[in-house]
Amino acid sequence: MRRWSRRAYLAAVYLFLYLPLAVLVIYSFNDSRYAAGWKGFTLQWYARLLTNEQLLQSLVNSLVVALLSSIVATAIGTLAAVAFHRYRFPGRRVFYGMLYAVMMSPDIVMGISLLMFFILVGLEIGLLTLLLSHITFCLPFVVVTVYARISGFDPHVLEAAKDLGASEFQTFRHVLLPMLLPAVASGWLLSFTLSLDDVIVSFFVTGPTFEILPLKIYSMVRLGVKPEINALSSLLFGFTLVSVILSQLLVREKRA
Amino acid sequence: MTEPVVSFNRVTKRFKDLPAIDALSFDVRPGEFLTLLGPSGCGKTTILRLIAGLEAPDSGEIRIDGRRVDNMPPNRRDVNTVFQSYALFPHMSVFQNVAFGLKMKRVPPDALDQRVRATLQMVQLEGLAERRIHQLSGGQQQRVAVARAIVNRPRVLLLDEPFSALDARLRKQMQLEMKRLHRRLGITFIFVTHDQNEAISMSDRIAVMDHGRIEQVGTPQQIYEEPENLFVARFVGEINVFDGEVLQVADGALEGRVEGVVLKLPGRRGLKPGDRVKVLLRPEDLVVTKEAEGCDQPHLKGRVEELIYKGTTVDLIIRLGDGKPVFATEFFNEDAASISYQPDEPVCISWVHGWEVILPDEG
Repeated sequence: MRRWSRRAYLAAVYLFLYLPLAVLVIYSFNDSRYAAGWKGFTLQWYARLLTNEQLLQSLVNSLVVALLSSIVATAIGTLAAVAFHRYRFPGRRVFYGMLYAVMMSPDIVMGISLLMFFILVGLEIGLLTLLLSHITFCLPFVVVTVYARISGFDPHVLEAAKDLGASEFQTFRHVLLPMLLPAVASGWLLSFTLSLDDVIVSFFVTGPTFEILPLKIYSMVRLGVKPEINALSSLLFGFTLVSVILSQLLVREKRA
Repeated sequence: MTEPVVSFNRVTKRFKDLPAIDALSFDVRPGEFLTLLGPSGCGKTTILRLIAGLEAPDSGEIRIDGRRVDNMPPNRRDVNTVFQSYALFPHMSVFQNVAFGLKMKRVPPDALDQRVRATLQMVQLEGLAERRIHQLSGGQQQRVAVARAIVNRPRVLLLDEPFSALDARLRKQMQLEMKRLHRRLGITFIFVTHDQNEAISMSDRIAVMDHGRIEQVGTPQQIYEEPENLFVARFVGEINVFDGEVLQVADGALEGRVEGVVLKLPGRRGLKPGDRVKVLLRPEDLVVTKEAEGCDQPHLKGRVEELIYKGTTVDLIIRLGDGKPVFATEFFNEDAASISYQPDEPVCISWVHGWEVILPDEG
């Protein structure tokens, strides 16, 4: 009886999490313009998606922005975390605390303040401003993730490297970075996903010349959810699922 | 006189204004096994970190092979450390850990491979080269830490309480292996411990430390048999401390009153009648006789309070008339096959004249 109720509870949790996604995937194969019951299986929405150049272009734009901003944020964030750990400088605690302020401040505030800043310094709204904004809001997540891992290290390990003749750079390259790699990777993944699905900040800091997927979808659904969007969303979900499984497999491989 | 391999000249290091070591001077001789012995917080680890270059002194001079190194970074010093926590690289195999120092020095692959394998053999890890660190036992990790340091053939090997995490048997075994390595390599070892038995059984010389100062430097025998002050006497081994007073000084000998009994004592410079002194005796130097069997020499009187059987010895706790406890150790031998005392049995305590250590009373 206990076992049964435990399984039922687990099933309820999974249902709650994944039922909406299942509905989305099922409707992407539904042979009907409207979400009004099952009308038979079709692949036409996927086919039509491939011919929708505007939508595909915005997908490519989104991936480019996500990739670039997550890489830059990861590089800067990792170095920042190392600096927070390695050096004692005035204002260190304040700086670190401010990272949380950036993480927790509402997107709408970030969006407006970034836009005002870009206008002030005279930057034209487009790819560059979008990139800068995404790097800004991804950065604290990388710093916090990597810093948490460094703090858990035995500090003598880095001293041992120097004691054995490694210069500051060699210590970073051969000891610190390899030991940080799992945290750096998860910081990067977090940045990539944050960047890929951001709507609110992006809404303020990009213009009609450079359209990204979340904004494109947002503007399309104002005229009703089209089945192509179901198809696209299903593809994105599938992509995410595969990358999560892959990363899990890689981590397990390392442990063995 | 050969030049010291490491020398400290009035070195001071403070942490938040508290001196960890204070105007410390000492020399380390080439090839010796020197142990820094002291309670935790006495500054012994700070000395190692100063030699390794992991800390910089606030004042004073540190020399390695005659060269001043106060501000030389650790990676440029010909010194390696075995850390208390081992500090192995968790993401590398045993082989890669040991090879790290040679790799940093860009030793060619063939020579590197050969030296790493030879060193692994020296610490009996040759079969485990490809293992990951977390797959090793504590004792094996300890050996990796040692191998990783000695593979570089440093001028000085620094060992910071390397056996503190091992159980008693493994610790004994590693102590023997470490002595063997020391003889074989001819490298100077500077070893830090708070364990006096470890210090006595392993070292050529011991420096006993307290509160950032060196209280005494000497061979294990000197430290044990001729302590220069009460701290050293009490820290190294069990010792009985009797209160005494000098009555007369004549021809390099003293007459004194010890715990109320008038005795002849060996002379010591600088003492004059009326001076208060401490008379120190190791438990194994005391001779205990039953009062019933008659005591001839001048002696202290007491009653047996406790008898602790230790296998090869029997430890006695004897209470003197004024309530002071005295520890005595009796060995089993042919003429006293059994050592037995009644509880509260009156006994006399004496010792061979000349075996006591006399120190001025520091107050």
